[in-house]
Amino acid sequence: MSVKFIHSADWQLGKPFASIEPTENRVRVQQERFAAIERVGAAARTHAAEFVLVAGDLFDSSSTSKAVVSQACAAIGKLQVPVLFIPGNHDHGGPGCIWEQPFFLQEQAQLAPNLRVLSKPEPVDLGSALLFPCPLLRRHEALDVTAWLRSINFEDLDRPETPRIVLAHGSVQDFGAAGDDDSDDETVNRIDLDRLPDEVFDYIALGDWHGTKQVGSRAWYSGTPENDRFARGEDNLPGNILAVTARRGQPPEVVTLPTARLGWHPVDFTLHSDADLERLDQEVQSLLHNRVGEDLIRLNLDGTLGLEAYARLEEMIERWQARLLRLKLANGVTVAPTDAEIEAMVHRSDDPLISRVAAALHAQAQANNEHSDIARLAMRELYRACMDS
Amino acid sequence: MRLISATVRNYRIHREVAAEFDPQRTLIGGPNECGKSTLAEAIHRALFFPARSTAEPQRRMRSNIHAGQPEVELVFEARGNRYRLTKRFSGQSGTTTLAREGGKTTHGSEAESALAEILGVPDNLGAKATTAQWSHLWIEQGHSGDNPCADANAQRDALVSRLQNTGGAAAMQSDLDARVAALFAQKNEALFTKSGAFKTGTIPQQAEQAVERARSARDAAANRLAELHQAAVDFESAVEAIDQSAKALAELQKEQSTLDERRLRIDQLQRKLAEEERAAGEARQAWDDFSKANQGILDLAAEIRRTEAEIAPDEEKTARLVEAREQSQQAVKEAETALERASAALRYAQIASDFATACRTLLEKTEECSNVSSRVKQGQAWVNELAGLQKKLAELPKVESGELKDLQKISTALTRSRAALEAMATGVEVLSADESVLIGGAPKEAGQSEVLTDVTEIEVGGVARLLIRPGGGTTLEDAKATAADLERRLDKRLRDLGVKSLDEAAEVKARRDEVTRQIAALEQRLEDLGLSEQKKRLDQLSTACVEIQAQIDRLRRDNPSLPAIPGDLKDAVALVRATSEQLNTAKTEEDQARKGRDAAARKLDKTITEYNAQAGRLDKARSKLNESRTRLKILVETHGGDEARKNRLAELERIRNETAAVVERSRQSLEELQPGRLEGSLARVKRALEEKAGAQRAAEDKRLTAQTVLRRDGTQDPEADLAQAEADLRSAEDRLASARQHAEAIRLLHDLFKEEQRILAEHFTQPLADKITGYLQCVFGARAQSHVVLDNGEFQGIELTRPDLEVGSISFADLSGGTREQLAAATRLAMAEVLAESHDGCLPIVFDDSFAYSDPQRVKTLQDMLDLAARRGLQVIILSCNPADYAGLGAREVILSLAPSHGRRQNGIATPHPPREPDQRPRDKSPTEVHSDIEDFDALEAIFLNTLNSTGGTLGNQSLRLALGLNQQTYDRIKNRLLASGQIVRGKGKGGSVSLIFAQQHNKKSY
Repeated sequence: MSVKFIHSADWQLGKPFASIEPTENRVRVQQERFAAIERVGAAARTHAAEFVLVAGDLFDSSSTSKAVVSQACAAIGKLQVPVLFIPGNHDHGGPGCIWEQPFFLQEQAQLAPNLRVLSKPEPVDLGSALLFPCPLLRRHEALDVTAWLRSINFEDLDRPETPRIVLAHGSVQDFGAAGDDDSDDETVNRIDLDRLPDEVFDYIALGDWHGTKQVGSRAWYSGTPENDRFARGEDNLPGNILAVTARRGQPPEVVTLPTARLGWHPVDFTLHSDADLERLDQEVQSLLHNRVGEDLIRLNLDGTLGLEAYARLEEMIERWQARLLRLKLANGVTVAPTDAEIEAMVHRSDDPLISRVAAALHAQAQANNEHSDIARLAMRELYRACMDS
Repeated sequence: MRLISATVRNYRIHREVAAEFDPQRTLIGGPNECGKSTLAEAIHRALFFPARSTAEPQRRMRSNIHAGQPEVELVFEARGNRYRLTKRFSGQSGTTTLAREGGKTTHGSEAESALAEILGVPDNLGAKATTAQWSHLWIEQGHSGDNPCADANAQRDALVSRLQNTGGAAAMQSDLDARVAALFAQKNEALFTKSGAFKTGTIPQQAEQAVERARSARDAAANRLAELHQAAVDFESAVEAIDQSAKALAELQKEQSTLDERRLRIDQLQRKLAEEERAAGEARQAWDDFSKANQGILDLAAEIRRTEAEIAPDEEKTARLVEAREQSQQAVKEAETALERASAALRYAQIASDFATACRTLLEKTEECSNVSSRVKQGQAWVNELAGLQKKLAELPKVESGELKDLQKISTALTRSRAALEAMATGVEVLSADESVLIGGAPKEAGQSEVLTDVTEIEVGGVARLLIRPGGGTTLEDAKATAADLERRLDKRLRDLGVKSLDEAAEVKARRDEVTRQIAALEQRLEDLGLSEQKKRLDQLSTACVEIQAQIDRLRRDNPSLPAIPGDLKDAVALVRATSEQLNTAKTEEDQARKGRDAAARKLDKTITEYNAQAGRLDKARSKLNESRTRLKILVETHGGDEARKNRLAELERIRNETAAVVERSRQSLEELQPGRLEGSLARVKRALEEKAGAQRAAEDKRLTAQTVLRRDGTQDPEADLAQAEADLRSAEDRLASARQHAEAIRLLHDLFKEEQRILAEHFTQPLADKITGYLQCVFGARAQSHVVLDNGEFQGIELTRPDLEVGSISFADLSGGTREQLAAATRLAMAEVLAESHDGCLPIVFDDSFAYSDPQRVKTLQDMLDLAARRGLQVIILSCNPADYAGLGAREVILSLAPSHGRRQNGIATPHPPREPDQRPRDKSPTEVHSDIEDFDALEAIFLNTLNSTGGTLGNQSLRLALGLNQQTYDRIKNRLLASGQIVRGKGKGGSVSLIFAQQHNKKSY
């Protein structure tokens, strides 16, 4: 007896993306998460999945707003299969949790009758599969939420042929969301897979790690279907869902299906010359492929540029900003006038005042003290004023 | 540019006045109101004011005392040429003519334009602007102390241009410099307030506000989320607390019911125990009571036995004492009898003794009585004899020896006196008498004689009266008187003594002496005898004898046994001796008996006392014993006999022990239930129950409250809101940091530009400062320095440094009025000097009473400064009402005065010297006299009123006339006209005065 289903997690609907400006870009990124639900639904249909499992963090917040709830329920309601999920650390099932709020219950009933919250650690019989949910009932759970699985008397269940699927949210061993999530403590929400009985469960659907990753013969992190951050590390592969075929007593068949639309690109670059500027421009271009409004770049810059070159960099940045949903810029480039620029400013026989001021600024910039940054900035202003005049 | 001459017509006060100017130094003097300033103004207007202007300055030029339009004619040199400029200021019909000597003459606006170009000022300026032209060169009265920076800034472009040419070494900012500096100044100005804060509405200020807003929003969002988290925590803890409370309550309730049961058992036991204790108490009491009674009986019986044993010896002793007492009483009785016998014997012996003694005394007294009686008889006889003698003496005249002597003396004297009288007496004898003769009044018959011893009148018949004086007068009389006196005295003495003569007196005297001697002898014998004592003694003895006799009689009557009275004293003495012996014996015997009786009595007393004591003790003991016996009897009757009591006591003891054992068992049962701790436990459990119930209610409230908070309406997502608020804050902070950096960069640039400009400006203004210093040193000494502050291309200030005063540099505003004038003058001279380089090296500079605040000494040193200016090429023109102050300047003087009217019009100008060419100017410096011509009375009236007004509205006639320079006739005529028109009134004072009626209607200044 086998069952086909979609394993997903970390939808984090309603994530604010607060640092993205302007608002329309932010809204665009927020909305893409809802759009991803449709792609999950399409994949479910394509792969004849009986249901969709979401291993935690359906919502980004345990205090999600009604608007997000409504939109999520509407999107989920459109999927033609049951969607079952457990509360994760972001939308945990503790007191005052979203799952108990009247407006959620109302929207769920009206818009997403196929949506089912598994907020209790007890077996759920779907007919074709037995689910063993391990919900998080608080944001930071110090105990292993899978502990209850160790004491199940399967004979009582009397379903020897039905595939057994575990749903859990947290980090396993020394790997997991602690390195991926923004703020969580490594010591909480730990899942000890090694302590689960051998081959008792046929698939362990994990959530919390945003990249797709197999962490055991039957244990997988599906990752988030639509990326929500600049990935950390080489093996972090977000933007997928898993189409799983599980059989009792056998390893699962797992197919990775890409579902992401937005590009999140980390770029680190060191600048020393106009040529470097050119190369940087090309790299950015190659990432964007002339797309507009679908990418986000984290640009870490360092190095040193002259006044003119820096002005060109500023122009380039302005151009990129227009095309990107977000340019997260860490500009560590030092502005140092070139010798020629210094010469042009300091030795102006016709403009004695400007030369003297420029010389003073140059000296301050060279001094490398707390005033040097201001002096460099002032030099740029002075340079621009001279050029403009 | 240099002024040569000026002629002014119909210009306010001036009908026509002309002045010539020295190329270097001109001093225009004259009293107040003579038109010096008007002249200076007229020259200024000619140079700058358009002739056809109808603006205010033009209206003010017009004279209200002279007919005709204001007109000014100037001759000046400029740009290498000499010009004659004529302007007629008649409004729209005004004319301008500018004639270049040896060259073109232009008119109207062309002439105005040409003039402006020559003077280097803009053409077609407005009327007001023209009056401000060259204000640095035309220093108006009252404005000499104004800050010259204003003038310097007005001439800034020209000054800067000249200084740049002069400076050489100092590089001035380029246009680009200026533009860029201005750009940053403007940006800085736009960004920062004066205190260095960001201005409202600037990007950094808005960024600051945005950060504040974002921070508030973040804090609010964080608080909301924290509330939510707290609510979740509260909810969980409340649920846990409720569970715990419920468990605890159940436990407590169980404990409480256990305690209640125990309490019930304890109550029952306590009641039972109380009953048992009561019974045990009663049994114990009964046993105690009976036991005590029994003991009492035993004790009492013992006591009775003991008392009985104690009493036995006392009974014996008492019996013995009774016997002894009776014996003693018998002894006493016998002793009393013996004593009575002895006493009777003693009494009789005493009587016998007394009797014997009385007898003897009687016999002795009787004998003495007889002796004394005989002495009394003798004495009595002597007394009688004495009485006879004393009678005899008393019968004799009492002639004593003294009296006898006196008698003898008087008698002798009488004898002698009679003899003398006899010798002197006159005998008269009537021999015959026809008539009656009266001698001494006594009729004398003839013949009668008379011895006359006194002065005696003899009258004879009434015919003759004779006065006879025996002895020739008084002698006879005296002798007669003496004799008579003596005679009288003798008679009287004799009479008194009771004797008839002196002889008898002597005889009496002898007899008296004999009797007296006898009396004395008798009296001596009586005295020796002591008759009165003897009489008294006799009385006593008689009385004593009677008494003794009475005593004897009584004794004998009472004691017949007494012996017979002795016959004589000798017997009596013997009897006395015998009775005395008997008495002594009786006394001894009586004494013995008394002593015996006393000893027996004492013994009896002792025996009685002893007996009484013993008997008392015995009675007491017996009484007590009886009492005890009675009590014992009653007790035995009450409690039974010995056996009965013993049985009863044993029974009671058994009951007592049994009940005590029952109590002990119940008490142990109760103690096992710990009743002492029960109340504490109950209170504790009750308290704990209340506590837990309260805690449960509180937890339920808390849960409900948390639940309310946790139940959201979903309009917002606090977590998302916080994330957004934090991102907004970061973003706002980034923007603020960037804006601040940018602003700081702008400020740095601006500061640097300003500093560099200042450094440049200092280089740049140095030549001007040097020139000012040059002038100042003329006044303030060689160490004085000036400093010109040029900031942003504007002259900001002039400072004076005087190291001699050690006050550092002082800004213009802080200087005294006088020093301000001098520093301003120095600055203007320096500016003129700099600017003159564009005007052929010369410019006129007019000081109109410019050193009003300077003291005369300073004015003198000022002349060095003015002279230096002249030497440096300036044309210095000084206007002063005290031209003498400027005597040291060596200037050409032009004196203006009010011309006296001689009733004749003086048209035209009075100039002693015709205009000359500059090179022909006279060497002599005699002042040029210029008189204003007063045209008519109307004008004089105006001047009259102006002058009066300028002196405060009231002035003495003489002073006013002299001030106006009018003769008396003219003055009076004008004054009368004004009085008639009511514009002035007469005032008081010597010589009279006049006052304006409406002083306020007249301006102080004439223009």
